[in-house]
Amino acid sequence: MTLHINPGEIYGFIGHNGAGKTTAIKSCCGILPFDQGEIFIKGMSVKENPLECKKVLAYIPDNPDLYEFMTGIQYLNFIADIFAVEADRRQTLIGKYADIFEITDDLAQPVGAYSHGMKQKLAIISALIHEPELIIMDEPFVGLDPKASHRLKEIMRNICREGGAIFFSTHVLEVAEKLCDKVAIIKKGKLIKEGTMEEVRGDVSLEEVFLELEDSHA
Amino acid sequence: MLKTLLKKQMMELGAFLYQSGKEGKRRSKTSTVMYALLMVYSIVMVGWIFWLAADALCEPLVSADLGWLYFAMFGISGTVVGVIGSIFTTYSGLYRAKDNELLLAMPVPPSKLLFSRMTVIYLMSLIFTAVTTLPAAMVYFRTTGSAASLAAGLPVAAMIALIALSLSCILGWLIGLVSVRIKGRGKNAIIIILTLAFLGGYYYGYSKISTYLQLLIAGGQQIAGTIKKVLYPMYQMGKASEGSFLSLLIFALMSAGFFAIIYTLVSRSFMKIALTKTAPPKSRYKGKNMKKASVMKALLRKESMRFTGSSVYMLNCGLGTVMLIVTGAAVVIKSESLLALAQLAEGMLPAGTSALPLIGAAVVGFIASMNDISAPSVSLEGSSIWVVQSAPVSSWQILKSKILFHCIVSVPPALICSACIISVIKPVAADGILMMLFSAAVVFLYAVMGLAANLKMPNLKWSNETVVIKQSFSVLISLFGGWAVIIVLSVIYFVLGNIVRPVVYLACATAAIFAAAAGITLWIRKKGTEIFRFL
Repeated sequence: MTLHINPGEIYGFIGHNGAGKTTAIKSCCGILPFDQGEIFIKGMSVKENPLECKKVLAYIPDNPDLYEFMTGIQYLNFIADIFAVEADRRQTLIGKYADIFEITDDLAQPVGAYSHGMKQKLAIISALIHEPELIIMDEPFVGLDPKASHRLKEIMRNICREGGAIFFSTHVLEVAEKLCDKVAIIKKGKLIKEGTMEEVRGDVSLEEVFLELEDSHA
Repeated sequence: MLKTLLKKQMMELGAFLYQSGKEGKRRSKTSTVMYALLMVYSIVMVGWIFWLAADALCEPLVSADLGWLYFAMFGISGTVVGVIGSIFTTYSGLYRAKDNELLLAMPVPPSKLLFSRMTVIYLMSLIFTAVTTLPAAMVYFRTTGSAASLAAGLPVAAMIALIALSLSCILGWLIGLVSVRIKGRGKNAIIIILTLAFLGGYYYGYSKISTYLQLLIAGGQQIAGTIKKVLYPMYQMGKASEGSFLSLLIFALMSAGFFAIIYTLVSRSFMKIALTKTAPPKSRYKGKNMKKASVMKALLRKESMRFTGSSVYMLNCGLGTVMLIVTGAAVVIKSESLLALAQLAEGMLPAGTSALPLIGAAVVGFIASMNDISAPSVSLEGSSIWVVQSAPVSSWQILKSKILFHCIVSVPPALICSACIISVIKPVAADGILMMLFSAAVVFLYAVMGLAANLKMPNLKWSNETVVIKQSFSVLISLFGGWAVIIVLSVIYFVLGNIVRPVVYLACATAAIFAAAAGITLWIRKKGTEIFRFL
């Protein structure tokens, strides 16, 4: 599988359950070993320079298992400390994104008391406060309410407008179709179609393409 | 239905034997056998301690025709051990199991779910109880040759386990009620205070055991009469253990009746407690000025919040801190009698100049082994391990923070305890300094030993943190490994004591411990970090 994600691109990653999306995503983030192939982030090898790669990327997993023994603000501060975000900058960014996702009032609560959606929002905020150049997200819209989903999409577009890149997996093909500049479809760990949305979709919907490819590669 | 629930509970209980906690995959047969052997070893070690106690008590009590009292005492001990061993599992297993909501949303009668969960806790209680009472039955058989008492051993243990289960259900239920009414970290504080008070009472009673033994032998008949009146079930238990079938029947009826009452009581409130979310009172976030901290400080703060956020973690893995300070204070308060006792022990050691610093160092080493904070620390990352794995921090920084946190919590009380002992035994300066160094070295060794064991045997798939805090092999290895270190050093001194001066031996032991700790640290840095990176 060979994929190139350029600055300014939102890249969708599509595949059925068990196709290998999460495995590929975790490998990109340096948290799953791989024997063959290479993954480069800004020209740096994830295998050789995992820490340097992690400094410029943010990862949001499919299931936001966060530290339940911390409060929301403690968690965000922890992440900001890990990424060495200056005090003023973190204050500004936490305030901004917590307001956008409407969880400012809840930041004093322990994460253990959060709903799935609130945890997802907190995971997204923690990914944004260190201003990564690449955000890798595994099913980021699961659990989000419509308003938060809409705002996340806006944020994703803004990040790409400012030169960042986003690589995310999703099962919601309508979202991918509207949001992504490029898309890759995988099956059983292999890339079966990749390109710009127009190239992949042609004159039909992404859903039709996906179902057709699934059948033809069965 | 009940069969299915029991099967699920048993699978969860035994999962660590056949399933890798790291990947969730099935273990190899060799690995399963090794785990089983390690578990048997741990049980035998604890049983051996009770065997020694039984060996000391059996003869005098049997001679005084108080065999039943001998069994009653071990029955009470078994009950206490069973309760201590299962109280937190009872609370978390009954009321805080992650699959409570899932199962209660299905057509599963709450009473059957409760019964299946209690059955597993009962089996755990039975292990704890049997480890206490079966050695007593074996020693009795060796002393009297009574086959009936040996045959009664297991049924009696089963009944005592039922009493222990009932008592831990009451305590678990009380903790549950407290949890529902008191929220946030105040709950942890109350649980810790109650548990420490309970343990304090237990240890106080235990420290008075020699006085009680003398009283027992002097006024045995009178005490026996009192126990017969006040603790009648224990009298029947004692008689049953001696081989009386009628008493066994009476004791079985009593313990089953007691359990039935408790079961009815607990089942009435089960749904309410199990399904009540214990979220703390909502407080609105008021923006404060934020401060930047270093990566290591942030990681240490995280470890600290994890530790103080769980009463189970604090009580099971940090009790040594309290015990070291209490021991230090006790040594100062009871300096004269303890000094006499230590000098008596010193007389039994190989000839040479004063060996009191060695005894003091061994005491600190033993108590410090009660702190095994690092031993479950990797497993406790659980499903949130991705947070640190995906962060730009090296695995070594993360693991170092775990070692450091263990040392921060354990080294100061170990030094305080050593200082108290030094103030009483007044050794020469070199001995005093070595004692302090030994305390620090041994804590460092326990920290890296526990962490290394956890890296080799992690369990990230837990549904309840109690499983990794109380039942994981890394914790067992850390605890018994700590004891083993002190025992091995003591044995070596007995062998070499006549040719090596205590001060030289203490210096060598300290250096050896530092070297061992450094060796394990090197392994963690080279291999452990690779293991952690891809857990």
